[in-house]
Amino acid sequence: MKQLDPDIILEVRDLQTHFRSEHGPVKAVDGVSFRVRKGETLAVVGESGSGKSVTSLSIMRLIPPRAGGIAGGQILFEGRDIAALPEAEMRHIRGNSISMVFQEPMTSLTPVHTVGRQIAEAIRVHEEVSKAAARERAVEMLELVGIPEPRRRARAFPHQLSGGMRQRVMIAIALACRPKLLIADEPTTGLDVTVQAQILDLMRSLQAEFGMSILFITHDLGVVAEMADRVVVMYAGRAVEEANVRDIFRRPKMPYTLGLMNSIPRVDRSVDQQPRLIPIPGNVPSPRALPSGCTFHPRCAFSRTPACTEKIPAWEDSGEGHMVRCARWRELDLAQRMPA
Amino acid sequence: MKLENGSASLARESASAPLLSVRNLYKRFPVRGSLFSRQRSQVHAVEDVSFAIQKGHVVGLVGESGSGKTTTGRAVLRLIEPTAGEILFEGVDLMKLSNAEMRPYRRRMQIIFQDPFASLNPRMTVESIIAEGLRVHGLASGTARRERVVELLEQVGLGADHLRKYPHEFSGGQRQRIGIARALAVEPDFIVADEPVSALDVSIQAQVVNLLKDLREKLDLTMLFIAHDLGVVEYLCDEVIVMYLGRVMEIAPARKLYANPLHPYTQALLSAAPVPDPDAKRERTILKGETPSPIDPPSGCVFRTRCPIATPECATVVPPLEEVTKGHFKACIHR
Repeated sequence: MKQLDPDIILEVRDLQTHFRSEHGPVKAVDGVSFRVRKGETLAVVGESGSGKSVTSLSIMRLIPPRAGGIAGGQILFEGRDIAALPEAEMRHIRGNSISMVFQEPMTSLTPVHTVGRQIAEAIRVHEEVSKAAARERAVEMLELVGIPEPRRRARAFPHQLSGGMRQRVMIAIALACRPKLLIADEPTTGLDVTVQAQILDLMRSLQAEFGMSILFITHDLGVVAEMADRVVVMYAGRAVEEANVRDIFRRPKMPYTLGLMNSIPRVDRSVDQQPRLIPIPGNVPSPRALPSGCTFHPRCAFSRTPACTEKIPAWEDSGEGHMVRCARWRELDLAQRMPA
Repeated sequence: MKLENGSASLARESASAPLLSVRNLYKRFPVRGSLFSRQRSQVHAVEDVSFAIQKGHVVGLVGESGSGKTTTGRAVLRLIEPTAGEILFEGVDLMKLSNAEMRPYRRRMQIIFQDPFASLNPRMTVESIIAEGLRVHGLASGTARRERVVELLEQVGLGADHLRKYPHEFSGGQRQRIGIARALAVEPDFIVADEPVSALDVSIQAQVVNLLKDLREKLDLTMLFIAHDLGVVEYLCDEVIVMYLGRVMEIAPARKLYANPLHPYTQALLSAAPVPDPDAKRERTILKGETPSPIDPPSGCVFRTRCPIATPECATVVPPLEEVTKGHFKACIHR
């Protein structure tokens, strides 16, 4: 085993998360590895069914045991494997050292309490402070996340706030105990673009202020380009590529990553520069009926060699930490197929 | 010679009346106030919206939530009854037609919905879903109807082997193809596409966007394409209408709008769209706050409460939609 790098706050090694079903286990996550460094943002990008959200719930240990659970691999947080930690100990880490912001703030907030009280309670779960002091901190947190008139808004109920305001409240709760790692699962999906721009801006400035690491789960490559230092691309339950953000966008090595890039209609390019989108053929496979070998092979423009269809490609370092899971990465030169 | 050519093309242009012309369209929804309150409030969903669509053109309608873009799309088809305004289709004001008189226009104007999961009847086979319009409007029966359905399936990239399947057997992208085939079945002259690719994954979205692009060229479709994704709109549309809080902020040919947006809202919207390029220069205008409630919209210019260049004057006048250069309209007193 490699020497532990003190700069790494979270390392996920070959994570497997399976769900129970009538037809046997469903491998929602089947081989995901990545590292998050202190103070950096790692984006996990993928389409529906890629396993990106299940990965984040696995790290938080929020998969209900009757539904399924972690079936293999390690989740090292500050060097300690939390994959099998007893729930009592995990509860201490959750919210304290690692906290999470979800896509739908309306369902994650209690409708019956004021937002000020909800933030104060989050503080009091993890710190021994008086109610009055916690309430005061809650107001400070609301101010920190850019909510105007924080003292008045602390007395508001979630339904009295707009979607963007509610997401700010969620961020305030998540950051109330100054976590070392913030997991943000599609935090701006469903918000209007002008509000999304505000929230992304807020997250960046809070990260600069507190130095926390962010694991940013998203399907939006535009958001990835804007937020990430490093990127993990997931497909059908597996990590298929990981590299720093510039290499992912400029020199992808996995055909799926290239396919995603070529599928996006770009607002920053004129139609003349991009006369036609190049979609990925076929459909995202169901986790109940995954293709053999490389799960991307039926849709891949470069596959169909026995190496692609018969065995699961290894997770390999192609140089300088640019990880790739493709049987043909050595021979393919994908960079030349990138949009100009 | 040159001059003659010029005047000839001018004459042709003025002779070609738009297929659809919407004038001063309003839609207000009553909201129930508290039990004893006499004050009836209204949602100002669409306020004084005017635009025109030429035959064979695809016009994008963009805006954020509460902009009124979906309401506009449905009001144009009279799927919801507008409060006021004119909807001229080939010069005929649809607002003046009875339900019976509207019938032939119902065939000629179709809609593609956003949610491919909710918009297809789960108990109907693909064949009956696509054939329904043909049946209702008495356009084809028996073998001819089946042949037409097969032709439509092929047109949208699905095969005849799907005829007897049910919607749940398809993926999101395939369902959206079925929704498109259903809309095309009756050979409409005009289609409202309401966020048809918004619910799809990027790799699938690109397939459906390319399909729509091919179909518009092949079938010379005229379409109002409602979307919030500015990239998709630029890729597919000839002209773009930008709405905010029920009103039109800017209308322009797509290239002009993206290269030279005039309205401060359009500028902010374009600058807020995340660009999939880590080296992109981000000169971003981050707007303050969020869209105000359409129940009590700001006086004057509805955008002024978030506008970076607003002045006191903006609160007093509703800016008229003015043509700045040919086909480029903006509603802002400062630009």
